[in-house]
Amino acid sequence: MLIIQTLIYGLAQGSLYALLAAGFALICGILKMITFAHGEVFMVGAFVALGVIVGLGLPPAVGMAAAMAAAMALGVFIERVAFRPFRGGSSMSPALITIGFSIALQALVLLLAGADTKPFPYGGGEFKLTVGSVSVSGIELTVILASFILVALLQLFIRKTSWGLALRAASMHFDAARLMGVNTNMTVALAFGLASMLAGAGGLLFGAYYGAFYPQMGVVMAFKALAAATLGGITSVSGAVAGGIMLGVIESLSVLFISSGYKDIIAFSILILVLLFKPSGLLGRFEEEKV
Amino acid sequence: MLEIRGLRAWYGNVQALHGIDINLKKRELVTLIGSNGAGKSTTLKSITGLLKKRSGHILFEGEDISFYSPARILQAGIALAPEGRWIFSDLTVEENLRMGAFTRPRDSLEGALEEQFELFPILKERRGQKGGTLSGGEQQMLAISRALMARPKLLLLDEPSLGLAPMMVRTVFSLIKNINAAGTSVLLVEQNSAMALSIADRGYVLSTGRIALAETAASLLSDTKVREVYLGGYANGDGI
Repeated sequence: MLIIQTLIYGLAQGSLYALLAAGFALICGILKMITFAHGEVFMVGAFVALGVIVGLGLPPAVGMAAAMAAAMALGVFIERVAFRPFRGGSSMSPALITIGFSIALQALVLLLAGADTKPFPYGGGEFKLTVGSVSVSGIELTVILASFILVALLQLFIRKTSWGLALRAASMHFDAARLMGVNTNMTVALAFGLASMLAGAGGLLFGAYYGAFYPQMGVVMAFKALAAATLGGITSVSGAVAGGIMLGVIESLSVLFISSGYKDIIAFSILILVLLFKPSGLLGRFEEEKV
Repeated sequence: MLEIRGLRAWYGNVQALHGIDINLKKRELVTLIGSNGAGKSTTLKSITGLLKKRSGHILFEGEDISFYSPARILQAGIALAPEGRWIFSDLTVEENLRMGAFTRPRDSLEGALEEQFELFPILKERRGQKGGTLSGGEQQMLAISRALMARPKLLLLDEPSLGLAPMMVRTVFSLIKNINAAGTSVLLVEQNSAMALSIADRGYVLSTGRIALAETAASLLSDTKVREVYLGGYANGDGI
């Protein structure tokens, strides 16, 4: 039964990776460029939610909405100043500018909110779903369900709406989408907006799950999510989500079978092996260049 | 219908077009021939607004579209089936076609789809299949059909015969002829000059970014110099 319990921990951690990894897939899919400020979008979303919930005393659902709205605005702003001016050029400038954003945003939140780690006012302890010797806490259930619903809504949007179609088309062939009359500036902003909304929601869920909000909370999460997205296949949203879940589960299994000290070593060794033998990720594939 | 005056275009600092003039009347089928790098594709990319660094005037039905966005040019009535086809490889055939009508009102979509399936029965058969899994010839038809989904008044075709088997080349060319006969004006860029001239009304010969010759297709076909330089290697129309 311990193994099922471990899988549930892994699933909860993995769904947090998945929320960030899906965003990396959206952004990298359409621009073929990487943002290094995604973890800070996640962190800012978390702090905005905390402000709404603790500062204003509003319910967590309102906090979630605020986190997503604030993260979206921040993500669209980052796209506008760090990516749009360099479209079609070197991906070096956006990378460096977003690293700058990452540092500046951490410093800004540090100044505004202080360096101490802040707790989440709602404990996860009251509710427990127990089946045999396996028990799932309310917060674990919330993290898993909320992430699942958000990813499902994203997929629905991408698959079923005409803007989703435009987004997928532009990810496959940017110029062809322009030729079809797609407003590609809007489409890229949309990709950043969606990715950031998921990141903001993930920030709140992370803070609530671990009961800890701090300015660096996004740093390691974003790197691991980027690794997870690469593991699954960074150009496809479902691949990145699967990669996120896998990374969470691998980590929790290594804690169970080996030692918690080794979990990062094991997770990243697997990542390196996958990249060596299947560079496009487990579920991803290279776009074939056809002339 | 289409009037290009003094069109210049650049890729970075390299000038690809040195002031070209092209006229195309309603219902005409005009071809643009010339060797590799002469500026044929550049001309089409300039007309559709994909290439931004350019000067000169492009008039379409009296309207100055020189600095329109690709979306507005499409809405004005010009669609391009680009070189290399630019199929959305992970979208289905039907989704590819829907993308072609992206700027059109949604209620006209089903009718346009039916029209295209009638014109290209093979695409109806393959409608649920991913674009990337089609053969070269099928992809070319999809590219043309996708351009037609926008119901253009002027269809631009860039190297529609490239990489196709001789049989398929003939099929595609007779399709182009039919589309033109049904009332759509066509500007056709082709390496396969003999084949292009055989279906065109008029032709322009492009050479290093300038118009070298502008004649009726018949007189270009019989021009000895044109024959030597552009038709010599593949006068039978079967490609290289």
